[in-house]
Amino acid sequence: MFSTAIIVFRETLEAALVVSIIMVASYGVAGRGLWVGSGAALGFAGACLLAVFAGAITAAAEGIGQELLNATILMVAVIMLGWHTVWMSQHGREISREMGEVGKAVAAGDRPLYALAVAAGAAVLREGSETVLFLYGIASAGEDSTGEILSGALLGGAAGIGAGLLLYRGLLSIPMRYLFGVTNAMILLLTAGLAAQAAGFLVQADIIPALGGPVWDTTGILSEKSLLGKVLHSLVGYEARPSGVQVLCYVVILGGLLLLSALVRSRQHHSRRAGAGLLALGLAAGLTGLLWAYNAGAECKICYPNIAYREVEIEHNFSITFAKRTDRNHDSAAWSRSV
Amino acid sequence: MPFRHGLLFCVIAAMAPLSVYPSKSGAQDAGYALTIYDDRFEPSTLNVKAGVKFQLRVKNARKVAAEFESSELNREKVVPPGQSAVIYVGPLAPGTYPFFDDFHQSTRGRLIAK
Repeated sequence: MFSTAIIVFRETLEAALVVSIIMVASYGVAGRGLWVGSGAALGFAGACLLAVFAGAITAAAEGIGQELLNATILMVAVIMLGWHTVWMSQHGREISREMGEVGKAVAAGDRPLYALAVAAGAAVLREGSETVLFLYGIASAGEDSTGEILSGALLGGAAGIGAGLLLYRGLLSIPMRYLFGVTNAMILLLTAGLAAQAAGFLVQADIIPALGGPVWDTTGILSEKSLLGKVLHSLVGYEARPSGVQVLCYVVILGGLLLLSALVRSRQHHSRRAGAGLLALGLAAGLTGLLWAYNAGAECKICYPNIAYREVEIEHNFSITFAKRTDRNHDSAAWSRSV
Repeated sequence: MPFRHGLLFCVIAAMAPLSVYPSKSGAQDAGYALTIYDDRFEPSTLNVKAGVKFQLRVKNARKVAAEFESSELNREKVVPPGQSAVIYVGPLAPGTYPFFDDFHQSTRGRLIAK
């Protein structure tokens, strides 16, 4: 039971910390509980669905389906939180002023709560699917009784959510006039951390290059396996052994969002539309640029000997070969040849 | 809300990783296979070539889900029961890289890059 509880705790903790920050960031906005709560609930429902299709997802896209999905979920969260950050740089001061004067929540109604709800849902979706898959596995194996599994899951889940609540209460004890500054900074670091995680998945799937690494190795000082390491990983994207591209992504997203926020702040009276265009361009270019950059460099790439359907192989003598799909996933002969 | 269209555009941009298939092609020099059994990895010590990127195919022969994980390799991936997962690793500096099953932490193995 306790081994189950520990695994559920670890997975729940990450999602709970993210949801806590989001709840603090939206403090005082009418209807935030409903929005963020429904986001998280939908995320959980999605997680169950993902767990059902886990086998198909793992086999999809030649074995890297999981990574593509994880990276996509993380990128959606990055965009939503980035969106919120820039929005706050535009309206944060007004809200802060209002809250200082009235002494309670009177924040504007058009605050992008949907962005926060989607981000919360994405966090729960990602961590939840692994938990559900794990629990479903031990339940169907029948080694542990249903009662044991349920109590383990509830215990671990409650502990994870408890840790999130602790963070929530702790952050709310910050004086109101500093609260927005602190939560904005935390969302910024969280966003950069999620982007670095997404990059990690794309490296694991061999879609983007690692660009060297590990850039540093702090496993001996603070392991990612330790509780503190795990918490810092969830909150600010701490990595004990990051690859070059992960550090790059972190810096680009952090710097890019700071720059965009400054731009929006200084220009909001002149042109909001320009700010919107910049935001869209900046984020889109930042996130997809890496993919393009990698494809652009593909001319000197040595290709896999097996050709996928619709893939074109250009030989040195300029003859073009179209090969039928040989279904690399299940072609054991081809696999053993390449081993 | 002039921002809305920008946001929509960004979300679509985030889907870019999903569009990679089927143009993806590997550039790795070698592949290695690893199987997770109830109590062990097979092989428990995997010798690989240092300095080249390679594909690791992890098969889960258990009846329950497993998670191949290694902080030294900076990799983690859930493998559903009976499934095989593909993980790209490296290029690695010569050395020993321990790995384990995060869902059953007594199941451990190591990878030696030479």
